[in-house]
Amino acid sequence: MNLFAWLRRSRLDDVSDEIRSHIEETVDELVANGMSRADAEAAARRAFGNVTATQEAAREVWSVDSFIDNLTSDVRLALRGLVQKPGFTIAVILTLALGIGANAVVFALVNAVVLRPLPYPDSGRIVSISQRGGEGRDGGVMNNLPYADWSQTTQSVESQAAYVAGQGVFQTPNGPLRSSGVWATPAYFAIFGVRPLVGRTFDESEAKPGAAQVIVLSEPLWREGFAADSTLIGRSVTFDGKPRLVIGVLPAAFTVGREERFWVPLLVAQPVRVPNAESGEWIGYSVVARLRAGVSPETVQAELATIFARLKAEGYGPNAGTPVVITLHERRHGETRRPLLLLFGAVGVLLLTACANIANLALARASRREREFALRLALGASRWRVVRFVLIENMALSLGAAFLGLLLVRGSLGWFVHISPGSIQNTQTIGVSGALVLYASIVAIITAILFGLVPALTASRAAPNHTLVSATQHAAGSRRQSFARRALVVGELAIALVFLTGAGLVAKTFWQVTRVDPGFRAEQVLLANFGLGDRYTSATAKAFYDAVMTRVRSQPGVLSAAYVRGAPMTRSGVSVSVETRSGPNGQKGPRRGYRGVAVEPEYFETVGAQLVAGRFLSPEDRKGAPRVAVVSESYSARNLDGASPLGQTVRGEECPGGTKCQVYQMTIVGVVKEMVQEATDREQFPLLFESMAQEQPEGYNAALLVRTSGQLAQLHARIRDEVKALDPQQPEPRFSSMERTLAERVAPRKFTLVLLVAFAALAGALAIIGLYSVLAYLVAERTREIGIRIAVGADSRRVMGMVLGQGLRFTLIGIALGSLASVAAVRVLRAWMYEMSVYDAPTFAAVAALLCVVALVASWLPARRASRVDPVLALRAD
Amino acid sequence: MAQPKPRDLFPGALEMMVLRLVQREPLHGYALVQRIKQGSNDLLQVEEGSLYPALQRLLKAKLLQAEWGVSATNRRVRIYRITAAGRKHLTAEVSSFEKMLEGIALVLALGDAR
Repeated sequence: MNLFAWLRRSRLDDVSDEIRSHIEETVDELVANGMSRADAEAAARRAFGNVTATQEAAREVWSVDSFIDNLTSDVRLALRGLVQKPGFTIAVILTLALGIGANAVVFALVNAVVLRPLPYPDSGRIVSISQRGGEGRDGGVMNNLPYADWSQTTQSVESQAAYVAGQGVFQTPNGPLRSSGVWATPAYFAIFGVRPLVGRTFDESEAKPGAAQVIVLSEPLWREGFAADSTLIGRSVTFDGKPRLVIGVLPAAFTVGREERFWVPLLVAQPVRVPNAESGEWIGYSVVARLRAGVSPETVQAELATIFARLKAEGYGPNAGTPVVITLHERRHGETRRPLLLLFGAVGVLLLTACANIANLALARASRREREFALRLALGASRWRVVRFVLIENMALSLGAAFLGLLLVRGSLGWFVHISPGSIQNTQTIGVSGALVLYASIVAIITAILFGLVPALTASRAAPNHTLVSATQHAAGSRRQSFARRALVVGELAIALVFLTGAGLVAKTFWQVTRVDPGFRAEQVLLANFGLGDRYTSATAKAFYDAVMTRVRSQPGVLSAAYVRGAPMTRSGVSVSVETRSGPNGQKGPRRGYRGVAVEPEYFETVGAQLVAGRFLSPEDRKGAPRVAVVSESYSARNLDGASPLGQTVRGEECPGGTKCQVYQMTIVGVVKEMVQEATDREQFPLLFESMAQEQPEGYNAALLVRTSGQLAQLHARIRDEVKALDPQQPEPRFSSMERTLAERVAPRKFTLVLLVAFAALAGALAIIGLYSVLAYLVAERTREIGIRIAVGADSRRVMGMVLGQGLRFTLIGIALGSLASVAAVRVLRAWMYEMSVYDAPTFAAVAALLCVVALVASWLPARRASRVDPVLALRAD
Repeated sequence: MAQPKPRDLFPGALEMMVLRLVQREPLHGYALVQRIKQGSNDLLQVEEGSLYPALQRLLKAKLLQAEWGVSATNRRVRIYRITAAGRKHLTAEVSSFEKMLEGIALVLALGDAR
């Protein structure tokens, strides 16, 4: 471009120099003929004619260059014009920047989650395999029996691996360190194509019973825990109280789940083949595999289906549900993709609204500029040149807005990622990338054409003689234009209503979720999670827990304390047991079941549970005594068809040896008020509390719940010190305050809420500004008519009513269309609703009323202006 | 605006004359104006406003080439020189011009219809 400019410049200078010499020679000749120099100069110039025009004409010859010249001069002119109209320019750039910025933020997320492949070589061939249980739920794992059978026979995958995520405690030079890691079969590393940074990964010989105990560390653990000691490879570290040989270090960038810090060989349990077993004799693993080239996941699915069918026929029904084979990408991002694409659609619509608004502004402006364009046409500008000029103006606005929008993205993306759901947060690289800049630029250009083409074409249609001669506002184009403007405003109002309805529904849901009675008193309750791990047997763990409890109880301010397995909102501990009962005709009945929680009797006092019937658990419910349970209120409706639960028996199942399980009966002795238990508000199960003292094995992997009248931070510090004193090798427990956990439970909803409210506010504001500007323009256009009306006796109230009526008409049409669209659109919000329908009439009505009121306020200003039209001035105008 | 001429040159006439003059000897703009004026016994007066764009057209068509030099009056001027393509073009133009002239002359020489 610089070279071009230089070439063009030099050619131009050549012609100018040449012409200057020409004139000077003429002067010389005239002077030689006896004229005075001053007269000669004047005469020479006169003789030559228009120097600039000649230069122009000479330059026009190089038409490509003249195209660029015209372009630069148009750009300069457009920029100057925009600077001279700062109000319009700022309004347009801000509106568009918000629209483009919103699009870019969502694009950044979509790009990271939907478009970009996972960071493994040939990652499209990595599949995740699991099975759906009898109740149709995909637990994300596959049982060891079908896994073992499939592994031996599969033809469709290169390799497959089973793995389990977990935690372990390292003894490092800086003290005990708890880390997350993975127990995996050796093929795991080949499937993900990861190469160790130092050393090697483990092989089949190390994944057999009795083999040497080895471990692979992650680079961050190696650096932070062991100061990147290169001699560590080949030495042993203490892991969960036992020595393990460090054989390698994997690069920091490698992760499959979330921040794995170590990898240990997984010994796949030999499946116990007992047909028709009443209890589960199985273990579930996460399974990944690398497909052979050209093989689809469906092929694997078919392989598994055959195996599952055979297993069912042989009587291993509970062990074999339905196989699920999906790509790892789908497993990781499948759930986020849909809402994200919805969001993408939403910001697209938002941008369209912004375009509509700007088109509106530009149309109003274009009709004011009709005379300017008519003049240009009259002076010989081609229509294309006028259209181009308007497009250049728009392009400048759009690109300015895109730049500002990207700055907004840079500033806010971190925050968006922070409040976004987990699977987005886990994606490592989300930022302002080249792809994002490209995307924003393309959006900007499309936007410029969208909001600019209609005004540009209208402008070029300006009839020079007509517009220049008659100064009246009612030029040929204006009827067409004002229809376009009205349609745009009605459309904007309709879109705004859809967004506002969505935001209203989500806001109402959010409000309902936050004001739900948790069923306990969360204030002043501290939860301590010890995570004792494999260093402790159930007996030593019990001794540890008892020692901690004795010390905690003696702390000042402690009101009550209890151990619990499956503390509220911790996603930990006890499983849900769910069954779908068949009705009399074999159809599926409602899902029954409960969430089991094991507690000490003091638990109810500590959390502040409320007894509805019967009794709480008591210290008398010990080992040897009849086994009892306390359930929550919803248990009866869900599992007993409304009958009183007191005295009913429940079948439980426990596995004292780890794998060998047995069934037992409990009697329900009490009912408590419903309590918040699940970490998300998606599905609630009735609760069933058992006494820890009656469990087999006892007191394993429990969390401590303490209610205090003092400071939580103080208590936290005391418990930490006590644990350190009891077992210096044990890392610090993880503490959480019940109150904060309860507040964080609704965090995922915040993402949708914040986004939708922001969009709705934006769409609403755009529509209102659009309405205002159209009404203001209509009033300005009809000033003369209004003047006449007033002159012939219309009072100001009538005139105001006329304009307000106009505004109300737009609004009502917009609301009618918007309501229809909302009914169709809000269905996508179904998944977000909590105990309410998406067709919530009060929300629909409230939102429509709100829009109506705001629209009337926006109409008020132009209406008042209309009512104050001075008939004399109005009639004399133009 | 220059004074209106009694008759405009037809398109291509100026270019043809420029090429012809430059074929004889390299010339600059001012000299070209003088030569056309003198050569036509003051019958033709070339407008500078047409000459310079015409020169640019010829340059662009590569029928001429230009270089900076010094005029007789010791001014820095751009001197135009004909190219091989220019020569060929001129020959073709002149012959087609002569045919046209002959045709016009023949038509004009027709006697009055009876």
